[in-house]
Amino acid sequence: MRWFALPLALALAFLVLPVLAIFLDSPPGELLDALGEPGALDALWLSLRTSVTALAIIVVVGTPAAYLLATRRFRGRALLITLIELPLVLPPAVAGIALLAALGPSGILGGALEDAGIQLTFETAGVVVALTFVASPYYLRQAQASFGALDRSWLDASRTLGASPTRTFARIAIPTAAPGLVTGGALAFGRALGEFGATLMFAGSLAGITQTAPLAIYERFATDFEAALALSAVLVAVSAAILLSVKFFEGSALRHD
Amino acid sequence: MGGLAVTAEHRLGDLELSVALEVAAGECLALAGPSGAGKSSVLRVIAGLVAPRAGRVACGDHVWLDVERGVDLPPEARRCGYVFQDYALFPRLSAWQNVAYGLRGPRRQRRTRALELLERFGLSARADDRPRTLSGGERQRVAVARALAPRPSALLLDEPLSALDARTRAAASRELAAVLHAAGVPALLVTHDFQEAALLGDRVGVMDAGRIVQAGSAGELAAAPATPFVADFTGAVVLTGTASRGDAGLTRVRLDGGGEVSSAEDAVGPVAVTVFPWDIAVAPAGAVDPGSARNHLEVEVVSVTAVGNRVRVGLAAPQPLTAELTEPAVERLHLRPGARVVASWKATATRLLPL
Repeated sequence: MRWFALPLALALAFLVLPVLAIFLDSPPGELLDALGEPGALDALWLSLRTSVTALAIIVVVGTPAAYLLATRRFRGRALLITLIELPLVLPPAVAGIALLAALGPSGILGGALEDAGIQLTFETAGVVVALTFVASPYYLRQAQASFGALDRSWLDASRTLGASPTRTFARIAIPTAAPGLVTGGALAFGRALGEFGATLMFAGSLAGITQTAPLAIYERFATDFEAALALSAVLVAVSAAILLSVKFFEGSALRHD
Repeated sequence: MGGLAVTAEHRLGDLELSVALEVAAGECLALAGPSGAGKSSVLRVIAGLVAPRAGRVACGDHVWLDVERGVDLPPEARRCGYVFQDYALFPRLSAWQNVAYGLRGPRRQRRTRALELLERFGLSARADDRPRTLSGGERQRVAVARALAPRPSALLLDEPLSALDARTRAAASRELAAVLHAAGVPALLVTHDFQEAALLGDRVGVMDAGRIVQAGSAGELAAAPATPFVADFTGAVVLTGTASRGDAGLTRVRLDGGGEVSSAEDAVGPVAVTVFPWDIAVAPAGAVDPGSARNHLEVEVVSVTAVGNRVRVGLAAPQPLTAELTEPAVERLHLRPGARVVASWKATATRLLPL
């Protein structure tokens, strides 16, 4: 077993060193100064706002949808699940093109959206659409697995005790599947926060409107490496915070069960 | 309080479920049969968890299901108390919250009623505990209390004792029998164990391959099984053979694989011969005292298993045969696997069922 330690050490060094380098490359004081640069905080704030909005949409629509997929057996279910998971493996650039073809000004729904007075490209709303598109499969997949792991007899018992399907969903299914749902939400949120390609292609990179933190980092790294590093450091901190809070939540849920 | 009347036909994979049953208020009907006989499906149809192809379920004056008339109430509108196999307690709710789940009204009122019920079941001390910290017997009582809490019009119990160990089972079954009678509603209980069915059911219905093969009191079923399956299920030994007229008004049966026995019952042609293990006597080979038993088979001892204060002796006649003896008898006869002995029983203890 001893030699297994070597690959582990290699993996650890390879994965951790680049992340550490963000903080080691320049002193913390300079990182904070770089954040003061106009636009940097705007980009971070936009990233958080759009990611939270996308997550809210994903959870509100995705939770009942995943529940239905997990608890009902119907024809074409496997195909439907595969279709829903497709954005998971889609290259982000392809996702951007696909969104343009569907919802862009000359896309198949573009005319209808324009008639309704809705403009998505080069608008913050477009960022939310792109984030929702790429991040939702992460939540759907995890939520479906969590609901699927519920004991069917809990749901049946709830019904025989007078609870409607909706009440059973709210009182039994969601609380029992909660740890999995939180994990799925964190994965989707993390994916949305880091989204780059689809956002750039679909919504563009307009400072203050569609330029999220990853886009801002890309724009700065050639001209102002310090600023790019500072933004990166903040994203690392946020991502790490998400990961830690999920681990903590899972841990406490396990202790209570 | 009204009785429960059920007819249902439903296809389940390879199994064609077809049952008709009635249970009076305050009565407990135990459906017994091997796993895969469709017992649980009957409960699921009654509770509304499965919609059958055809059938009708009524409890008192309330029609819960009438496929012909397009009536099919959802489970939450049927007022069925259901005790699930393995109990299906909600893992994230405490014992009292589980019991209170089916109650409506202000939280304080629901809690009071739930605590009352838990006290009746001797579980006051465990009210705030999660199901996973409860013992098997405690879980079973919480599940029964939860099913009773909303004052159901009928009670359905799926293998309520099978998750318990042998020691708690006896006490739990006595308690459960008392609870079922006190509830005063029709109760339908499902089990794979005939003894459990006999203990808990006022009547027992034996199910096989989707049908109720025979229903009656446990004593009736054991004494006069209608089919070899029921005989086997109630614990009788079943041998197959061919019957023909014998002397002295008796029927002679040539057993498949060798041996011959007589029966006081009439039959001709292929039959199942049934006899109860406690009616079979065992004597050393060659030292047969004819006595009053007419049937003597040279057999070999295959197994010797103690069951409580009795010993079950497996015999090969060559068809398998089981005798039930006392421990001293087994000692005296030096019964060991491989020993050759003679198994005897009376022609009047020999039942014949045409095949």
